[in-house]
Parts: sequence; C-alpha cells; structure tokens
Amino acid sequence: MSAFAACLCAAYRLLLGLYPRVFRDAFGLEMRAVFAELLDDTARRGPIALLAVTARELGGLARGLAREHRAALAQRGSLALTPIQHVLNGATLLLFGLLGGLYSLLERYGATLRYPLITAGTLVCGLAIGALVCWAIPRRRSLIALALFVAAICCTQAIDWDSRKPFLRALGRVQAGMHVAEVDGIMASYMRWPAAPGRLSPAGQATYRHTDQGWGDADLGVVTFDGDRVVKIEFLPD
Amino acid sequence: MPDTPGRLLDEPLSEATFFILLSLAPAPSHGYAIIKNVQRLSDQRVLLSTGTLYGAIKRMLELDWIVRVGDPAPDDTTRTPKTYALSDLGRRVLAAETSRLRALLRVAERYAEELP
Repeated sequence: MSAFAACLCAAYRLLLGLYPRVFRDAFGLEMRAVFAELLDDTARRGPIALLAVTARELGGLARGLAREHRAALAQRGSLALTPIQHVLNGATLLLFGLLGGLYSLLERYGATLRYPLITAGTLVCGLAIGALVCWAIPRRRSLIALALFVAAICCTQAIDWDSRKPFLRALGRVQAGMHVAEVDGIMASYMRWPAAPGRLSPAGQATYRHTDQGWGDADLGVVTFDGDRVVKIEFLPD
Repeated sequence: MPDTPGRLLDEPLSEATFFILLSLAPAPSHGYAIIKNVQRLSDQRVLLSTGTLYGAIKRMLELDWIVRVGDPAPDDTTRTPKTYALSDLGRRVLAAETSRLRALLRVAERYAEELP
C-alpha cells in the first residue's frame, strides 16, 4: 500500500469514529478492511481512479453518518415523537427562549441586580416549565433544555457584560444613613456631579455615572442627602 | 409461487438493496465481494460505497433478510472477513421484488407494443 493510500486509510479510520458507537463496534473493523481492499484494488488503475473512489467513499460516509445518527437517535426515542410531543417540544423551547429573552432584557436595565426576586422568579418559571413538559416529551431532552436555560441565566447573572452591572452593585452598597465621604468611597471609580468629592448639588444630591457614553448608557445613580446623611438612592436607567 | 410484493414489502426495494440481495443469492459473500458483485451485476451502474453497503447490511440484518455466517467467537482476534448470506425471508423478499419488477416490465412491454 502506498503512503498516500495509507494516509487515506488513517483518515478513513478517524472518520469512522464519528459513527455511533453501536454501529462502529458492529461494522467498523469490516469497513476499514473493505476500504483498504478497495484502495489496493483501485490504486492499480491510477491516481484519478483513486481520487474518484475516495470521493465516492467520503460521500457514502457522510450520508451513512447522517442516517446512522438519525437511526440511533430514533432508537433512543428522541426523534420517535408523536405530533403532539413535537408541538410540546417546540413550545418548550419557545417558552424557554421567551423567558430567557425577557430575563436578558430585565438584566440589561439592571432590574435583576436591584430586585433579586426577578432572577428567582425566572428560575422558578423555568423549573415549572421543565417539570410540566417532562411527562410529555422525552425526559432527557427536556432536562437538557432546562439545564441549558438555568446555565444561561446563571451565566447572565455572573458575567459583567457591561459597566452598568458593577455600577449597580456599587450603588447597591450605598445605604440610607451613610455619610457623604462613605458614599464617595464606594463610588470612587465613577464620574460624579458635582465633581468635587464631598460637595452636593443645590438639591442636596450627588449624581454618579459609570460611563461618559451617550445614548443607551447614560444611566444615573442619584443619591439624595439630608444634611450629610443619605436619605434616598435612585437608579435612573437610560 | 413467489410472494406478492404487497405481502412482504411495504415499498419497492432501493436499487442498492435489490442488488445486494441479488449478489448474495448464489452464495454467501463478504463486504468487498458484495461491492464487486453489485458492480458486475449492474453493469457498473451501481457503485456502492463502503458506508452505503454497511448501512444497508445493518438494516437487512435487523429485518432478518440476511444473516452473518460463521460469526467469529467473541475472543477471536483474527481478521477473517465476515460473510453474509440470504435468509429464507431474504430469498422471499428478493423473489417478491423480482416478481414486482417482472410485472412492471410486462405492463411496459404491452404498452410499448400498442404504441403506433
């Protein structure tokens, strides 16, 4: 066998690894042997014939992979669904998608940081949807969808995807009764108006921003003081 | 009397399946020999790839149309090629399909004779 044919055989062996295990265990060795024999036989007819056979084998392999994976899935029951189960399956994904979309919208405006109940409520809704559909569609599939949903929500919560989230966390640490200096210490890394630390506006307020960007990010954190004590904390999203 | 197609088959056999069954009719055969036989029987028209062949073999084993003969013992590590043979059911399926094709051919020939 030529070096080229040996390389083709090695590549074929690797590609066979993509078949479902049951099929691979039953026919993998035989398929490799037949492929090697086919190459041996074809090599005598020149490189063009060798390439033609290789192309045909790759095409057959691709079709076979799709067919066997589909068969394996159907055997596990994932694709062997009734029409009602298909509808429920689609509705589940849609509900998770809508819930996730709603959550990310709330997250965008900082609501989930200010009101942790929103995160808890979203997760409870997701769990309820997951539990409701578990009986109707293959359990494994609904559990995977649910796990992905919960993971996505947790990631959304944990990752600071813009400067608004750390800003809100800092603003959340400001409590009524704090001194101006304490608030300035917490909000030290943010823009302040009036700019000089310790000073307040004529209305007795200090306003903080996390970015000098314009539209869409011009959120304000407004802290109102009575004397030098905090009495009110507001987040005004853009 | 061969079985009618309706009794054995839900739908006509694919050409590849038909030729694989046909190639196994005279004697049991192994994978590479089946590919070559199918080429010869179809006048080089049906060129099976290894993936197509073993996909078809798997389905036909599941349907009990063919059987593995001389299946090696689990501890057998030799690379003796596995051979496949038509089962009784496979023979009947092949006969039914042949009968269906023959009937089709008769209709086509009769129609051709009536053409001006």
